[in-house]
Amino acid sequence: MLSKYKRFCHQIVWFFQLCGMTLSMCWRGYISHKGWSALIHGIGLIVGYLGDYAVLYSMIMNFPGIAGFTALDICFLYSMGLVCYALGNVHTREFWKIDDLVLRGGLDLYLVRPVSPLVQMFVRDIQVGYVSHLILGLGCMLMVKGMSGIPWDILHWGLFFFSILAGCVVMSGISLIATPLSFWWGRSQSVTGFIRGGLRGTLQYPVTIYPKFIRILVYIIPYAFVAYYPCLYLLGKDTSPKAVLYPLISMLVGIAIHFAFWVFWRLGLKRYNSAGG
Amino acid sequence: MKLYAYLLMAYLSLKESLTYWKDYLSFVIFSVFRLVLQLSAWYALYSSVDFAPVMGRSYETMITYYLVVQIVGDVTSANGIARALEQRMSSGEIATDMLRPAAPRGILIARSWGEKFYFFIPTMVIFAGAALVVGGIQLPASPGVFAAFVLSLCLGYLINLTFELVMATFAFWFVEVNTLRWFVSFFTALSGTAVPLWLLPPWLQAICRALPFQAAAYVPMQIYLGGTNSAEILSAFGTQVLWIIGLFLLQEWLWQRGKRRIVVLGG
Repeated sequence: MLSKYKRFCHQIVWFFQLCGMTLSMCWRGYISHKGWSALIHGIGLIVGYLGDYAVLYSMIMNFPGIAGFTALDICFLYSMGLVCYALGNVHTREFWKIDDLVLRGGLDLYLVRPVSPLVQMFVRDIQVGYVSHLILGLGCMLMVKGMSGIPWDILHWGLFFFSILAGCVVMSGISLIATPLSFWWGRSQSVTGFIRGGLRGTLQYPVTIYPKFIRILVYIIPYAFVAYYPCLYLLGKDTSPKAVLYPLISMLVGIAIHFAFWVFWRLGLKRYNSAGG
Repeated sequence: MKLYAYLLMAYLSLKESLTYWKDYLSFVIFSVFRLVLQLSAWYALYSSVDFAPVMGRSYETMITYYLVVQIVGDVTSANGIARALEQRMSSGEIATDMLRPAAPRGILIARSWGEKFYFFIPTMVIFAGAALVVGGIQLPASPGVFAAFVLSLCLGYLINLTFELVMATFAFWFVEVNTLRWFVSFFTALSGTAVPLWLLPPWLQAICRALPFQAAAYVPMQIYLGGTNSAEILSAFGTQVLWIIGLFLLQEWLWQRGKRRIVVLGG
């Protein structure tokens, strides 16, 4: 029992070492390929997203609010969505190419190595370009926090960081959940693109403003648990004790969606036939 | 003869896009969702003021604006040309384009027409359908206003096209044109396609009015909603034409300078 536990711990440490190594490799690759363009690209991203903030803020500031949320609250929700999207997709990019990997037989490369293909794909293409999203998103959240005047105690700060963590886990699960469809359909880009991109717009507004069918959808594909629920307590919209638990529920939802993905992946992998020669 | 060749290229581009029908279907679902999400937001915002006018504009005007501006955005959009040139530069295909009897820019524009129809047809159907479902949509005040709106749309397309060609020429100097697009997207977001300019603070409105993007989307919408008289419409046309001439000359100058920089390796 003890040796099993030791082995598990050893694997976890090894996994994070692998992540660190890949991160370092990806960072060096990114910088050496793009050079100064990387920095300019990063600034460009920030400027571009500031346009979205300007649209959102200008739109809502002319009204008393939207479903009880002010323009600043909406900016906070949007920022939370941005940060979770960036952190939650740092490791999922290789899965976005799953169509080609399945159709062209590129997945063989992962299957013949003595390490789980899932682990390899998680660390294969770590995205370092999301730094801009993080800087902007976190900066805006802290700015909104300062402007809103809600005093944050240690519980708020703890929930803030835990909410980001939980939101990232949910977002990562959302990005991954439909990718094994490629094992059955060959191409799943349309469905994964819709889940990852089409529904992302639901992150910036309170879920209560949507018609019933969209509200149901954001519980099934749990966008409601990325920003809306975890932020309710932080923004002072729900100060009841149960609101403190929302980030924890988000984390559980995130773990559940990853588990569903893992089962789905295993089923799909059994169907996989190499296309290569 | 050349026009026929360009039309054929546009047709082939449309046919190529339609091959991936699942992506097409996904785009249609995307558009419906985008529409429902944004309409829900406007509904929630106006319900917070009991559907009273905001900045002098009623809820019906806002919904009309939002639905029509999506079609305006699609009609006047010329996106994709810069990206296509960037790809042809990095793959070296630009060399074969230069050898063809048709102009390289003409090829890029023709191909973008095919893609334009690909996106335009469902957008028209969805937003026209939504206009019928939502109801209360305002129509142009007279056939004359509608004609002015259509002319303004055509000029809006030419503004976006010439601007896109300016962006495309940067592919001669930079590895990624996309980087520049992010910088510009701050202002394109404020062109009037996402939110009407009357909702922006005055200082931001002043900046937007000094740029070409609002002339491509917001100006046609102002004409459609009837907020302008004949003199203002003529002045708006004049501004649009000036932008077209300015951007056309700029892209021509950049193109002539940039094409001298092309170096293609390999046989």
